[in-house]
Amino acid sequence: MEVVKTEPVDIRCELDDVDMVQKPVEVRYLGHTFPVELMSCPVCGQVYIPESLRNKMREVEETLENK
Amino acid sequence: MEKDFQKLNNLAKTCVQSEAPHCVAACPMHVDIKALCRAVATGDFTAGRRLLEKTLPFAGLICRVCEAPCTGRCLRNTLDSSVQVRALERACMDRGGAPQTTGEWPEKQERVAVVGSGPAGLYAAATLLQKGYSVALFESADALGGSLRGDDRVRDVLAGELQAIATAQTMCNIVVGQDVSVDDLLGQFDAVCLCWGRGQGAEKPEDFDAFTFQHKEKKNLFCAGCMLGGNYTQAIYAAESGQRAARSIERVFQKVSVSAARTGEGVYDSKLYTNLAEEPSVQPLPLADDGTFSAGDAQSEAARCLQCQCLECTKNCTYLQHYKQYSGSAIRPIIKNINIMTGWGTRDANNFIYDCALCGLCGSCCPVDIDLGGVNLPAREFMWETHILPPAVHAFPLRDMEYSVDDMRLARNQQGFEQSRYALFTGCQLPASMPASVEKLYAHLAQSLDGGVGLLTGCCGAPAIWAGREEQAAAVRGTLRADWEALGRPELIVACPGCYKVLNETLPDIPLRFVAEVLAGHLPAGAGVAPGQYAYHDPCTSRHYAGLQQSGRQLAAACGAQVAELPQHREHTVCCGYGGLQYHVNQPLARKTTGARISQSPLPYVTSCSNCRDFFATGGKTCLHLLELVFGAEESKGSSPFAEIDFSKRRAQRRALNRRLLKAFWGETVREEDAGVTVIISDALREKLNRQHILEDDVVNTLQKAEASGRRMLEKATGHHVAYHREGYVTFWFEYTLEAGRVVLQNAYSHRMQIVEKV
Ligand code: SF4
Ligand code: SF4
Ligand code: SF4
Repeated sequence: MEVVKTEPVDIRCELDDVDMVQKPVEVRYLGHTFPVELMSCPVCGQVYIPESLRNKMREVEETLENK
Repeated sequence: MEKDFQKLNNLAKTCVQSEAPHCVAACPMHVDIKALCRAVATGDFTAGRRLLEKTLPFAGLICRVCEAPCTGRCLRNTLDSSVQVRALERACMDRGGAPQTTGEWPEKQERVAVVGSGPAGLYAAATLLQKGYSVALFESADALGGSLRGDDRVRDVLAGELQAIATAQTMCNIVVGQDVSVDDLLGQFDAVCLCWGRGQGAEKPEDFDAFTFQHKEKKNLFCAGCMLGGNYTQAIYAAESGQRAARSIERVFQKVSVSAARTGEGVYDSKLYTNLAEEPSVQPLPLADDGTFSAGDAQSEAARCLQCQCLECTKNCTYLQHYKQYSGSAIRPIIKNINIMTGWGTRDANNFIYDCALCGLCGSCCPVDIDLGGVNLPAREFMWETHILPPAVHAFPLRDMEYSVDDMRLARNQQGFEQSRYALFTGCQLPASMPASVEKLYAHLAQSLDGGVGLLTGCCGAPAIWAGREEQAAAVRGTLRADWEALGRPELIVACPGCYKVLNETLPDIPLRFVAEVLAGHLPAGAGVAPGQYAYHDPCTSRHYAGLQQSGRQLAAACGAQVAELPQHREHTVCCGYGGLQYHVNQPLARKTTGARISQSPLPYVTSCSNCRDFFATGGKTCLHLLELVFGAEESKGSSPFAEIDFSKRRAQRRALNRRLLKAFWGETVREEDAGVTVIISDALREKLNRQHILEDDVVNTLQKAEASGRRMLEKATGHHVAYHREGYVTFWFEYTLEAGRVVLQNAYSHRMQIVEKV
């Protein structure tokens, strides 16, 4: 399965008032865990998933659901 | 479960769709008459001829002399008169171009003596030659053909047709039994097949096996044709017996069982069912004096073939059409899908299993009562129990069910009563869809029935049942039972046919009455606001409840409506698209299901189920609920045609209804919760929310938290704030702006995967 990754986006964490950066995080579904790279806040860790990535995720979700 | 799989496998075997058409079963040679008719109907006589040459040796003879037992069994007989198959075969042989020789097998060393050269002998010889054996054909007369020789119908073609056995060694003018004995032949040849006329020789039919035609003692002696008597005196049966004897001979040579696995040879009975109810009568065309058709007439005659098949399930079910399946064909893939070991392949049929409306229509149409819903539902249950049904699939409707049961449920005695003799049970969707009608209904019942009319809302548990979650359904039922007991075990007046079905099946000791029956007996003054013509739609949940079907029609009539029937009604009614949670798992398919039903009549519909009403509205069809005939149709008047199912609005309506009911009937004031923020949502976004199963409550809760905590993001290119929130099995994403102190939603989406944040 390909590693889900986002293009860098100019986005700011408003809680910590810092620019978010690409960071490795994990997504989980149905007992599987995948490493992904997402825009994340270096301080609080909140991440950003743009809508363009959502459709790709849906494909992965479907593959896992039919395993 | 193993045992259940076996049962399901057996069920699949009862499907009659793979049975041969009755004509083909009756044809001793099993010519593919359907395919033949298809070819001829399009004028492709060449394809027809090829088809005949493949299955029917000496087709040029048979198309002239066959007794055509197929026509005796043709289903068209019950409509007008049978398809004239033999004349169609003749047309193919006459117009289908030059003969094509079939390939022959490599030469083998065994030699067979065939005695007699009528139809049986010719077929035995041709079959053996084709398989590569040497054949000596003994004939007592001076030329080949037996009974065919004196037959005027084949005079012109016999010589040409006999070319098919040109490689046989012909032994004319030899009388077996006089010139050479059968035992001598048995000594000289590896096998002997007696295809001579009746009464010749010492052998009797009973000396031979009635199916394989092998002599009971002399294992290399066989017989075929007239000497067997009965049907075998007719050309086509004799011909087939020759072929069958030849196949038996080959089995002896190959040293395999002569009798094993020979289904499909010879004439048999077919169980194929074909529904002729809608078939128009088409009279057959007359043949010319010589028994032939012109090309055009042959085409028309072939087009009369009904192309017999069953497919009653598929003809009636949008879902099966969508998947190009019939119930009988679907069962094995379902079993395979749920049986597969995790990690050992893809579960290709998951969506197929989830998408069924569980409506029971297929079962009510199937000649052998196969109800695919009755397979798909246990499949879902099994998948849920074994953790292969992802919870997210049905999360949205089940969340709605929990909301109905945990947050919106009311169980009250009528004010001034300690106990209820009756209680109105509304179910979960009716109050969400038609709150004003529910309010009027309860007021009317409380006023017109004696002994206290309690109110029970909540849910019957149908969504959990449909999702395969029996445990959760049982819990919902437990709550309902406890409420019912607390009200003093009243008779339930059930306002939803779906609830009626579920309660009737799962809580049989609770006395039930359908609301339509009660209302028909206690019609409020002034009912009958909508005289006019309606087509009555039976909700699929009422399929097996004749009482519900009847009382609904009676109530409509009592309200002044003229009720017409839809083509599929009562036990053959069709689902609206909500059944089995089809809409929640496959919206495009549900749209098709809805569309198929609403196109059945131009009349406005009337029904007893609010879901059917609402689904028809999404397709632009006016459908009134019975309650609207009784209490007025204000709630339908405001709605725009083609309006989407608006789940957020339905939630809000339920909340408001509860507040109104508590105020009006129990004098209690419930304060509206303050959401904290007001979010502006455009119509287009609202539609997207509904399509993606995101509730306005989710928007408000998420944005309220984001605004309160400050935990949000700013996408600089668009200037949108972004916040996300996980609810159950779904993560929601919202983009929004703040404009003059108002929160304006700019975008929303969701996914099922869960993010593990890392600091
Ligand atoms: S209608 Fe056609 S398929 Fe059906 S029995 Fe007659 S010839 Fe056969
Ligand atoms: S239960 Fe209904 S939706 Fe499911 S296969 Fe049968 S007819 Fe179609
Ligand atoms: S209705 Fe469907 S499942 Fe039933 S016998 Fe016919 S094809 Fe088979």
